[in-house]
Amino acid sequence: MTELTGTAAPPVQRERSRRQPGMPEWLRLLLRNRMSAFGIGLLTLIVLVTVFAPLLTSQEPDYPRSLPGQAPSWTNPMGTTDQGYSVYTQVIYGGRISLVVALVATLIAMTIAIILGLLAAYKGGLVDDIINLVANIFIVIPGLPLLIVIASFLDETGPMVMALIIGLTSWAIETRVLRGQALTFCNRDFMLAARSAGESTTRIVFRELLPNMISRIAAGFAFVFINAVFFEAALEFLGFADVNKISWGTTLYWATVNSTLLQGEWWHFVFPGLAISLTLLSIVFINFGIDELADPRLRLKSGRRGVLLRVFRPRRAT
Amino acid sequence: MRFLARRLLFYLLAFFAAITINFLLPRLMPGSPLDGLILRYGDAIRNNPDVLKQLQASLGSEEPMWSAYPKYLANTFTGNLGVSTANQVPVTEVVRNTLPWSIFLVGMGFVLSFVIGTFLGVLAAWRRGGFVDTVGTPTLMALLSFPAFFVSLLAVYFLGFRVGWFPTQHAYSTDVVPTWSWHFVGDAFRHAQLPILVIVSLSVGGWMLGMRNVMITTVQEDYVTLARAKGLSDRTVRDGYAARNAILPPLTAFASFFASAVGGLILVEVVFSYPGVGLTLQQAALGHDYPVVQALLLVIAFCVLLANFIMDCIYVFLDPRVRAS
Repeated sequence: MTELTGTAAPPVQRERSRRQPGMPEWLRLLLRNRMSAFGIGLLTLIVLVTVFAPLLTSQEPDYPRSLPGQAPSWTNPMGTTDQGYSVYTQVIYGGRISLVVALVATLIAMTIAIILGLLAAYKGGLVDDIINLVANIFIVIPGLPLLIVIASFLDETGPMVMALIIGLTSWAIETRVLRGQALTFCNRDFMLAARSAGESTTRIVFRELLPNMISRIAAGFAFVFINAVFFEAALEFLGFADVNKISWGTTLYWATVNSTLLQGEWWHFVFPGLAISLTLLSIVFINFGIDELADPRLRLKSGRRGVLLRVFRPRRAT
Repeated sequence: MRFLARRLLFYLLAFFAAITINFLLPRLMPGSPLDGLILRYGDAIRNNPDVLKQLQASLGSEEPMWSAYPKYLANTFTGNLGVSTANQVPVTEVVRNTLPWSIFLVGMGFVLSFVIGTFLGVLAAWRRGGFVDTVGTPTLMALLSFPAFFVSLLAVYFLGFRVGWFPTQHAYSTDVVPTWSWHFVGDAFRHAQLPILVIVSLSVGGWMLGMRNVMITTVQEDYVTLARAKGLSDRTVRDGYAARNAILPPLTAFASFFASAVGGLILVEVVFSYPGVGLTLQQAALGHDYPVVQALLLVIAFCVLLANFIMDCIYVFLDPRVRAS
C-alpha cells in the first residue's frame, strides 16, 4: 500500500521539494515581473501604513482636533472634515477595518469554494450536479442587492458580521472555476493511482488534488479579495455598516451625507476613494504575476505590451 | 431550441431560488424583523389589520414554514407584493414608478458601452501597437478596477459641480412636469447623461478587451487572408470579414456584465439621487421597509434573468452553430 501511495504522490512532492528551500521561490517569480512587483510594493505600502498608523499621525481618528472643512495643508495633508476630523488620519486608520473585513470575507468564501469545487469535481454525479446548479444560481443573482437585503434584516452590522455576509455570498464564481480546473486533474494518472490505492476521499482531495491547484487558488484568492474590498466599501458607502467605525467606506459615507461635495470639499471623498482604488489596483497587478506562475507558457512569451493588457483581462463568469 | 429550453429552465430555477431566499431570510435571521417594524411604524400597522396579515405572510409568524411557503409563492406569483410600510403605497406602484428609470440607464449604458467598446476593440486589434491599442486599452482597463461610487463622485464633483456641464441630481428638473412631451424627454436625457457616462466608462473596457483579444486571432484566419488577396478594401475586410466573426465570443460575457452592472447601477443611482430601483432599494433597506425591499430584490433578479435569456436568444440567432448542437 505504502509503495502505491508513493507512486501516486510524485508530481506534488517534486513540486514541493523544488519550492521548499527557497520559500520565496514564488515571491521571487512574482517580484521578477514588473507589474506584480509594483502591485506587491503598493499593497505592502498600504498594509504598512495602516498597521503603523499611530506612528504616522499625532491625531486620533475619532477625535476632532482641527478647524472643520479645511483644505489640504502642511498640518492636515488631506484636509479636514466638516466635524474637524483629519481626513489623513481617518484614511490611514480606516484601512484597518477595510482590509481586515475583506481578508476575512475572502478566507470564508475561498474555504467554501475550495471544499465545494473540489468535492464536486472529485465526486461527480449527483453531488456535482447539485453543487454546480447552486453555484450557477448564485452567480446570476446579483451580489450587491442581495447583500443590501441581508444587511437590512440584521440589527447590527459590525465589521465581523459584514465579513461573514460578504464571504457567504461571494463563493460561487470561484467554486465553478476551481471545479473546472479540478476536473482536468481528476483523470490524471496520479489521481487514478491514489484512487486505486484505496485512499480516503478527504486524503485524495486535500493531499493529492489541492496542492496541484495552489496557483489557481491564489489567483482566485486575489479575485475574491478584489470583490470583497468592493462590496465592503459599497455597503459602508450606502450606509449599511456601523457608520461610527472608521473605515474607507464610512469616510466616503460621511462625505456624501454631509454633502461636502456641494461645498467644494473634494478632499473628503477623493482620498478615501483613492485608497480603495489603489488597493484594488495593487491586487489586479499582483494577480497578473500569479497568472504567470500558474501558466508557465505565459512566462516565456510575455512582451511588455502583452503584459500590460493581460493584467486587466476581465474574468469571464462563464 | 434544446439550448434555449435548457437555459429557460435554469432561469426559472434561479428565479425560484431568489423567491426562496426572500422567504427564508427574514425567518432565519436572528431576532424578528416584524417586531422591529411594529416598533418603527406601530401606528400605521395597528390602524390597518390587513397590513399586519400581509407582513406576517411575507416576514414570518407562528405559522410553520411548510404551510407558509406555498402561500408565499402564491402571493408572489399573483403579483400580490404588499404595501410599503413607510408610506402606504402599493409595492407594485413603487416598482412601476422606479423600474423604467433604471432600465433606461442600464439599457443605454449597455448599448453604448457595447457599441463603443466593440468598435475600439476592433480598432485596437486592427492596428496593434497603434494609438488606440497602446493608450486606450490600458486606460480603459484601469478604469475597470475603480469602484462605481468613486467614479460617480468624481464625475459629480468635477464634471457636474465644478465645470457645470451636467446636472448632478435627479432624473428631471423640479419645474418640469413628467409627461410625454419633448420638453420632458429632453430634460430627462439631459439628466441621464452623466450617470450613463459613468456606467459606460466603467464597462466599456471589458467589451473592448474581449473584442480585441478575439479579433487578434480572427485576423490571422485564412478567410481574412483570402479576402485581402481578393483585393477587397481594408475596411471591408475589417468590418465584413474579421469583425463580423469576432463579435460572437465577447457577447458571452454579458452575464458578468449584468451582474456587475446592477451593483454599479445602485451606487450610481444613489450618488446621483436618480429615482430608480437602486436608490429606492437603498432607501427602503435603510428604513427597514421590508415589503419594498423584498419586492425589489425579486424585480432585480427577474430583470437580470430576463436580460440574460434575451441575450441567449440573440446569441442563438447570431450563431447557427449553437442552434445545431
